[in-house]
Amino acid sequence: MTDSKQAGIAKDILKTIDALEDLPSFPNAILKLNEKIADQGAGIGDFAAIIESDIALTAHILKLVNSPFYISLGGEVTSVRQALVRIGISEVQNVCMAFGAVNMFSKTSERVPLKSFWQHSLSCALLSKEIVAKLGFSSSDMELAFTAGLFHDVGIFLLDIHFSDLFQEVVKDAAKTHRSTLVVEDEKLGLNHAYIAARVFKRWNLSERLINIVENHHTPDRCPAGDKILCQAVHIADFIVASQGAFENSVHLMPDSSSEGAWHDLGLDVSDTPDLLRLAQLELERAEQFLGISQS
Amino acid sequence: MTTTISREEFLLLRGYIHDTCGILVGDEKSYLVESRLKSLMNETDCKNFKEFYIHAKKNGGMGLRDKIVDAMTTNESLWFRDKHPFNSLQKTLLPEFLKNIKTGKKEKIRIWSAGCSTGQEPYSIAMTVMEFIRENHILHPSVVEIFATDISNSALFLAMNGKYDSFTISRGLPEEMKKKYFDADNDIYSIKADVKKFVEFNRFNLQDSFQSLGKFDIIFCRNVAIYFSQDFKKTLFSKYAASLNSGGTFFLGASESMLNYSSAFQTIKSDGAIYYKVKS
Ligand SMILES: C[S@@+](CC[C@H](N)C(=O)[O-])C[C@H]1O[C@@H](n2cnc3c(N)ncnc32)[C@H](O)[C@@H]1O
Ligand SMILES: [Fe+2]
Ligand SMILES: [Fe+2]
Repeated sequence: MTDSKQAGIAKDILKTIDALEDLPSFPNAILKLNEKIADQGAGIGDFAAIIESDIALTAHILKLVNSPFYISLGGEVTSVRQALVRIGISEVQNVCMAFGAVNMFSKTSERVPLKSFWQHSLSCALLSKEIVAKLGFSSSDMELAFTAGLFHDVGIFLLDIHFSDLFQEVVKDAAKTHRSTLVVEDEKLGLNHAYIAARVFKRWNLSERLINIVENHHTPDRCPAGDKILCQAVHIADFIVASQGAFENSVHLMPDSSSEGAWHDLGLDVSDTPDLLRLAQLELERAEQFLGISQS
Repeated sequence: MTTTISREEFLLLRGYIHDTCGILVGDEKSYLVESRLKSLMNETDCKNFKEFYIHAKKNGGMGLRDKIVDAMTTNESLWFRDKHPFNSLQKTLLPEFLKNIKTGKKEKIRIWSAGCSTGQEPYSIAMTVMEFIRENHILHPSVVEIFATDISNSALFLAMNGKYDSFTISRGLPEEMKKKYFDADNDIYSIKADVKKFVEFNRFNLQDSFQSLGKFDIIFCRNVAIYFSQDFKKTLFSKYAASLNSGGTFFLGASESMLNYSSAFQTIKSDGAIYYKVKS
């Protein structure tokens, strides 16, 4: 493909993206919950009240807490307040975010099967948070890593929904030539899903930090200094979950490398690999629980 | 714009990579550094590599490290690559060792896969050993040690992970070996635990001293030195010679040659295979 044709495609895509009117929005109750959790003065009663204002969310949480996955923690849970005490605020927040995300993007095509897309994204989110926690970062950084992990690939959704013919070509070519969709996106479209997501996030007024991380999740070494380490954590988590076979799209190709700079800066190396592999299995299972419940 | 790298610029960039990534870029890599960084330099409107270095340092790297390290660690690999080395291992070398073990001359066989990338080479060695054992040769698995090293954390992660997608698994692996030594789940193939346990993975830079590694009976260093300078190859091959037990064997990639680099080895040609024996 000639450079000028590619530049033309990129320009068209951006024009369309910038003019989209029916962009999905995030459930209000969850946004409020995030705000309340960040507010030092708030307590369990406040959180419960916000969650209870959303019936679907409440039902979801009760169902999950009473599922076999959590039942070992105690008997039946009948209120949101009890749920918060049982599994902790941070876990409830994870569950809410995952619920919101899944409900936001729920159109599907065979190119991006919903279940595996969210399995990939949510396990990446959980693992990112875990890696950041191990490094001793603050709980707000942990939440940021989680959110970035959860949304890092939504650019794929946007491409698939709004540019389905082009994306179909990308997926076909990637499968045929055994190259990652990322590489083929850059080649055929002149831009990639990371960039598309960042562009839309700007329109949603999401935080600059979140935008930096998502935009650079495949090039963490290029992330602005203040957000680099979180971006590197998301990048490595993404690499790890994909290498367990949790793929973001229908091209079932494993990553063949990750940023060496990220391994270095995160202070990780081969001696951490067994732990990372164990952790990845755990988070994949947890993600499956979260999602299994939301889909039933 | 100057797109060739001067000695001074190379040393600056090399120092930067070493300080921020712990990886030392050898002299032999200067042309790689040059070709990898041209596009990045273009993006930043820098006029030469010195300006680019200053810009990169100020802006937290801008992906410079990863670009350079990527260039150094091309990690493409295949199962049973070149086939012959694995035949020689199974038909010639392992039977010799077995004899020596039976007569009490040897206790252990140590094999080093240097530059093991994502695991195809050490696991192919392990499968070869298992095939040898299956042929009714009485060789206790604990007698064989496969030591696998690479400089790349990503490659080592994938190697230790031992999971491969259907394209990667298909590259060089015979169907019956896939059935015997891998568990399949959806599109993912995981190497079985009894193959995996032969191999110990470690991070190791071939520019470092080999002293702490001990002696080996067989060394595979294939498609790794192709990126190294003539001078470094000479040093490297003499370090390998010194790390081999007497009569030890050395394998290079099919497109590589020892010619002009080392006189410590003698070339062996048998059954289409070419390998090297350290002279005693
Ligand atoms: C092309 S792969 C070869 C893999 C395998 N030996 C084969 O033949 O299929 C080359 C590997 O050498 C590694 N490598 C390059 N320079 C190295 C160094 N200085 N020390 C250790 N490993 C290095 C790279 O990370 C890469 O994984
Ligand atoms: Fe991605
Ligand atoms: Fe991803």
